[in-house]
Amino acid sequence: MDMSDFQELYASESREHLDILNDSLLTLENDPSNMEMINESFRAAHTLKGMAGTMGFDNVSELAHVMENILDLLRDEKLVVDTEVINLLFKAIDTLELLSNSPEEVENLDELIDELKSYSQDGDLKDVEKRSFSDGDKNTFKISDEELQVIESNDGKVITIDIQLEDDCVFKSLRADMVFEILEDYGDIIRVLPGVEEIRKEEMDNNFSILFLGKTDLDKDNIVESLIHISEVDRVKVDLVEDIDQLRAKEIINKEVKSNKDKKEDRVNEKDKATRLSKRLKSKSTIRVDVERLDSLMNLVAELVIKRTQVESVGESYNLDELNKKLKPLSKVTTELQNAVMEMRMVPISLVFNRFPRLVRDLAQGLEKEINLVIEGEDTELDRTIIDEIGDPLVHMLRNAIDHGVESPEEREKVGKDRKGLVKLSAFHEGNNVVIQIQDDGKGINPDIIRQKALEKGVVTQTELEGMEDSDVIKLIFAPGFSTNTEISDVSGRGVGMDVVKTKIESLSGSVDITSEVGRGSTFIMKLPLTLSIIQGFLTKVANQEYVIPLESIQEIVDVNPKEIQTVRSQKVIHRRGSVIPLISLRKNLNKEALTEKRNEIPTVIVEVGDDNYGLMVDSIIGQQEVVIKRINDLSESLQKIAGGAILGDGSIALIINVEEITTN
Amino acid sequence: MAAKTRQTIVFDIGDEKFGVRITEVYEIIRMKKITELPISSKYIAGIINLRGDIISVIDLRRRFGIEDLEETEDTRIIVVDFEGQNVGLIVDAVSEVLHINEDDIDLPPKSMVGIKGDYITGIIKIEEDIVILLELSNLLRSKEKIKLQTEEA
Repeated sequence: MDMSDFQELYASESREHLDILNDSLLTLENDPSNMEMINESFRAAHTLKGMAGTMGFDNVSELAHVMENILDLLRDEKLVVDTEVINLLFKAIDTLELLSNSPEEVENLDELIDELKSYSQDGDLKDVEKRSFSDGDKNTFKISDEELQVIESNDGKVITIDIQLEDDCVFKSLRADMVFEILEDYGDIIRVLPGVEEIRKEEMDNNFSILFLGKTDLDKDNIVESLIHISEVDRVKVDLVEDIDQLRAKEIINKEVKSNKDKKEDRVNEKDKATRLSKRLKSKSTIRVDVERLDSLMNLVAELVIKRTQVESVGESYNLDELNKKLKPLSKVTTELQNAVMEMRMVPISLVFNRFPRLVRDLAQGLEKEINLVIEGEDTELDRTIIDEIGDPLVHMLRNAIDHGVESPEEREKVGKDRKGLVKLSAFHEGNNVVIQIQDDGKGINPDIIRQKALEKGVVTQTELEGMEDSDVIKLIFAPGFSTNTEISDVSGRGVGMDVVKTKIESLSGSVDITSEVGRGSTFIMKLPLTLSIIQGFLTKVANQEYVIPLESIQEIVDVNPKEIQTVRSQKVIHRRGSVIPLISLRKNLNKEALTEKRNEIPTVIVEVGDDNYGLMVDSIIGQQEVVIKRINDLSESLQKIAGGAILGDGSIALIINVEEITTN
Repeated sequence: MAAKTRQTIVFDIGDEKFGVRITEVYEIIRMKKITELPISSKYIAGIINLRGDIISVIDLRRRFGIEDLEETEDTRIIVVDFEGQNVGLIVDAVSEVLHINEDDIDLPPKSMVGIKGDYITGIIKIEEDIVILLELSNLLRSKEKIKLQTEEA
């Protein structure tokens, strides 16, 4: 084998490694935390270096070596993966390619090697904390003589504060405002980098710096502590400025760095500029819309759905086939329009969840408890209206979990639990509902205590209690005027809350449930409809009035033969598929007179509530229909059995049955 | 002092005439189909569909303890504004709109013991008739039974 054979082998192998380098760096650029990609490119560069060394290609070997150094620094997190370093590495790869194919075309190799070297040295010099900030030129505060005088005439501490926001931070200027607001308590802001205007317009990277004149008794750690709790703030670094003149000196040094940087910037090729431009354009393709406008759009769509139903009913009653045929595509379009509008109104539940880490921290501190708050499914989307309404109930339940649920660290240690109590807040989709759970691993709810309390408060009678299972007893905490904590704490108040929570959730057509195990903790489960305005329902007739049963709770519709009905403990039931289903007469439940005529078949809608099935007996069934829910402002008493009104095609109103309520009473 | 005038809508219930301030009235509509609610309160007749919105309707006859009357051509629903929401009041008929001088308003006579002062702002004599001016917000807020019949001694 002569030298040319080796050369061929070397060429094909180095090609392979260069491809690996290219691919892994591309992946890395999109996913800077991908360690695997750094390792992969490091291995490729290392192999290249060895191969070139054996072949005596010293320039290739040297270039591969400096690449290896940079990748090593990236791997040890001494350098941050950013466009600059990736660009530099790509440039090196291009040169390597050129070196192995047509070495004569390679220019300025030494310059490139020097650039790579100086870059890796920069990384070496940057201290560990500083590298967490993606932008190199910190603290380039230009101080006017006036400002310097102010600083010198005050005997406060001068500090610089560097804030790094999370990469996907959405409300940069808002977060910055929050930072400024908190800082106001500690002293005066002298300078902000970039300027306040830029921050307002969000013309900044994900970091900004503040030159700050603090009070004399200022504590660095306090500032860090209070700033880091602002959501979307990733890192906070506070440096004491010992010598004011240092600021001036720094300015000069940084100017140099800057000019160096500018040079690098110039080299960024046109393609990069184009990518950046398209990115900027992309970020502008969202617009902010007033919620009121969305509401009125939603109302118009709802109106459209009603009108469509009206036209449909004309077509049906006059048997106008031609019209009916033409209406079908129209109804498809309105349904799609409706979905589109509803999607526009969907916002992630993180809007509500985001404020909880801070709240929980404060609560835990106030109650001298240690809490580990875990949040899951914050991307789950809900209708804007519901998001606006669930904040308070959620806060209340969280408070309850922390105040009444989780024990003190000492108590927890005694029973062999982790000192830190776990509170898990999670949200997920389940059919047409969104489920929100608040789970704690605290002491749980003791049904015996609830029994005793419920009797004392007159929530239930002794006889009622005797027939109740533990799981039902626990649900008594939702009864009006019930409190399990004998002492009144300022956190959870007087325990008037849980029934208010229940009412609130139900007013949103949702439901709330609880499971608990003594010593193991409790779980609150809230089920909320994805959207409030339009639902699929089954139209039924009871005593000459129309009622809608929401489709989501319907299991099946059956005709019950009166002979099948049995009576168990004065409750009418039927047997279906091995389970016993209690029957509920809607006539009786809605204060209507009982039907006098005997029927051979009773139309019955089987609904599911929690894990139980119930049969709702109606007079007749009309059919499935999409209905627009309208809230009923009742004056006299709470309309618990009715979830709202639906306007039908002929303009009349059908009442929407609150299945939860009607089955629990 | 210049006398203030106000406009009042006068309506009939039974043999009595009542007045409400025109500024409280949103609109007057003909009787429409009322959907009953499964509640025990007799005063609430039910709900109606008012151009896509659902509003509660109160039967003032029942509210004042007068026996029901079959709906006639003259029966109207007066839609008023109550605490930011619309509420309908069923009345026998709407007769006129009056310009009244506030100085002409008298205190209700002592003989009208059945209806509490809270619910009326005063009475006014229009020729032979007496119009009872209603304080709507109190009337709608309260749940107690209101007896209208003047108790003849």
